[in-house]
Amino acid sequence: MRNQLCNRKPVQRDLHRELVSGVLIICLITLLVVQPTSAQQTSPSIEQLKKEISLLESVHDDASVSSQVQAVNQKLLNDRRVQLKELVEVGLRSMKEYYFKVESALSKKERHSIEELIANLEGDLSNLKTKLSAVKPDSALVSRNFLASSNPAFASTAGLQNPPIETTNPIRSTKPAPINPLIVTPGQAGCYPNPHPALLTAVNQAAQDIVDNNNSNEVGTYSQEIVFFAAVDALAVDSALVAKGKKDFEKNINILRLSKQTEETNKQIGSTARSEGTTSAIEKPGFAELLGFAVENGAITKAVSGTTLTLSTSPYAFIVAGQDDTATVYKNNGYLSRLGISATFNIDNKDNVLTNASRKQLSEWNLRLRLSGDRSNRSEEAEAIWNSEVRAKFNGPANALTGAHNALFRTPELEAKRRAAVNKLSTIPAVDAARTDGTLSRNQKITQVATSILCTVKSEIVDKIISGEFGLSSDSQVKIIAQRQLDFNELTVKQADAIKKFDGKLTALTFKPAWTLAYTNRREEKTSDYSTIKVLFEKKIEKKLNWTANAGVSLYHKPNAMLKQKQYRDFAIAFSFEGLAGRSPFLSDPDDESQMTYAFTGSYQRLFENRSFAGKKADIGAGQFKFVLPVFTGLSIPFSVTYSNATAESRKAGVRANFGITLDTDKVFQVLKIRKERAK
Amino acid sequence: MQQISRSIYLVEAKEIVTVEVDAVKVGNFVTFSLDGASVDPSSNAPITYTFKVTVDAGLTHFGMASSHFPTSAPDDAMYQIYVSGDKGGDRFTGSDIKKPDLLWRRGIEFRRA
Repeated sequence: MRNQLCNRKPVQRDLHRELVSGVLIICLITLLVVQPTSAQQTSPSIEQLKKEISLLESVHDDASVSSQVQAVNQKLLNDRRVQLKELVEVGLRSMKEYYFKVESALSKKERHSIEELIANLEGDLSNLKTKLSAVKPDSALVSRNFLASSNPAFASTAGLQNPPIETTNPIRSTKPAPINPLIVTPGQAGCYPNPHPALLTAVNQAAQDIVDNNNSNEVGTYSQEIVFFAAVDALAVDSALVAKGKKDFEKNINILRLSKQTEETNKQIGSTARSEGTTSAIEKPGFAELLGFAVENGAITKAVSGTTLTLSTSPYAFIVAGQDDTATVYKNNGYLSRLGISATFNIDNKDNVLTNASRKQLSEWNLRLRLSGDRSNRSEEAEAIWNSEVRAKFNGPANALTGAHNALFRTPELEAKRRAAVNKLSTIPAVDAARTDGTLSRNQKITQVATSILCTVKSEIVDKIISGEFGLSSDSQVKIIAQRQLDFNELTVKQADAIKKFDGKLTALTFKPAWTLAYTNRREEKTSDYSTIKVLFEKKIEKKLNWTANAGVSLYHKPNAMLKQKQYRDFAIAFSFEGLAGRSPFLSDPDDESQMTYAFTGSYQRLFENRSFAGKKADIGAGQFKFVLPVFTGLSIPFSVTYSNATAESRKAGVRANFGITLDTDKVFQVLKIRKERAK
Repeated sequence: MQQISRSIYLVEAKEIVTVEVDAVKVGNFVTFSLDGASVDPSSNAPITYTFKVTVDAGLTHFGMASSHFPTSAPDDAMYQIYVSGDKGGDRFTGSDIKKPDLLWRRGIEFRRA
């Protein structure tokens, strides 16, 4: 019905001009009303759009048609042309991607036929662009439609008044655990509602640097990403599927890594197994963690467990207290991290625990010397893995970006235009105004700065590439950008894969056996002070199984003859077999992978002075089973049952049970990070 | 060499440019790309990259430092870039890359006037 009416030609133009105009208005209004509904049901084909455009163009070219009709007709014609442009761009992009992939496998004839198809599509696109650019824009609509055509991810939202905020993670280099948020999200900058995710990330980072350093020139650092992905947007060579696949891939990696962190159980910082307030029956050599903690927090760290306060440090912590802890300093002084020192104090004053750090409150101090090699991520071994297996693949995305610039800006004229554009990005008045506005918060400044940069990118780069003023629109340049975009996506995935393997190998480093020599000086109120020298051993058998063993002797400093003490106090050995029993069934948060852990520990101690007392036993054996049950995120209940054939004070055999509550704030933060990541 | 900003430098023909990256609280997990190709480090303490300016007047060498932070690196781990040339000028402080940043790579332009 609609087409019949529209096809009826005004044969008696002179006599029935007004009547025909009326009929046309009815046709056009019908198109306006009906088209959105039908478009939702089925997308028009290229051929169908071409027919409709041809019809509308015939009205457009008809000088007898009234201006009122022309205005309505022009809008419909524009809409059809924009829709056709989108379809042609999608087809062109798909064809180019296909061609780049299979080019080497094609015969000359086959290549020629595909090149002809591409050339036809490019011709159609060029004609459409010319016609669209000749029309004065109905600003908001054209802007949205431009973006719909340049970034296919936005196509489905074209025509909506308010573009929705994209909820997927933007493209980022290889970031495993984002901490700074993406402050300006897709759709927030009305002048450029849906920029390429990599462009948006670069602009957000630039805005943060500009605000944090109070310098508008910081945007230059990200000009390569900005110019390249603006060109990708302008020339519609992005591949939504590749980008989305990569984004999902990175998001999954981020969540996987964070989940792995919540599984960590090998974190034991604090006093030795004999101190009060601990359920541990054996000491772990986990000295690296201890030092890592010390370096992170300063020269000395403190840890409170039950009724004890432990202060820890290392010579290396003092080396880096007065300078940056650089890789070079670590290379030259890292051996000092082999030695750790800690002191444990009994807590009397719980309001200010550091006041307990006095000689009077000192219960023990100890030295630990790591005998085995460095297994940290700063070790020579970690660096060797990086150099041999990761470095070459890691640089791919950067090579794609610098290579694109090198290939595109090869003439002084074009390079001058690029420099001028970068200079404009560095001298945006609105950016200067926002960054120096004392009434704005940091986030407000970043939002305004990022939005201003995006608008300038749109007007100074994207629009000028489309109009041809910037350059970069020749076939060879478009081909370079398209190919580099594919390279960038492909190499980013390879980079992420290399990083994943690298992190796996860093984990494998921790599977190597660790040997530590430990010296402990114990202060005893009722008996005599003594020292213990132990060798500690730890070996992960696999991810879920861990062997720990130690053996040592204790010596009295001043043996008390009245108590039958001699120089040697005791000899002791202990071993522990620890494992993971799976995720706790009590955890309600699906992101929390905290594991139930169990440990079987056996120990034997020969307490020499007990040989002289009838009511005591010299040979003391004990076996312990310990189970740690996470009940909420970060909150666990450790429970242990110990059987011993005697104690140091009595030869009476017995069973005792201990339990407690531990809170791991790190785990709570990790789960919060995962939630934040998922919410993106 | 002259510094225009932390990421833009004016260089002379045949100048030998040195880019140093200091890794703070993290290993040397960094790479450097120049005009589409990876540059091998000439030294590892600190990690250092050198190259010779070969572009004509009015053109630019496009560089980019990419870095990685293992999960076990602390949140205040960072990389600091320094840039210098053998034809005058200081050892300039370039961009930094912090673990919490959104992007772990930084572009550097070496422009011929």
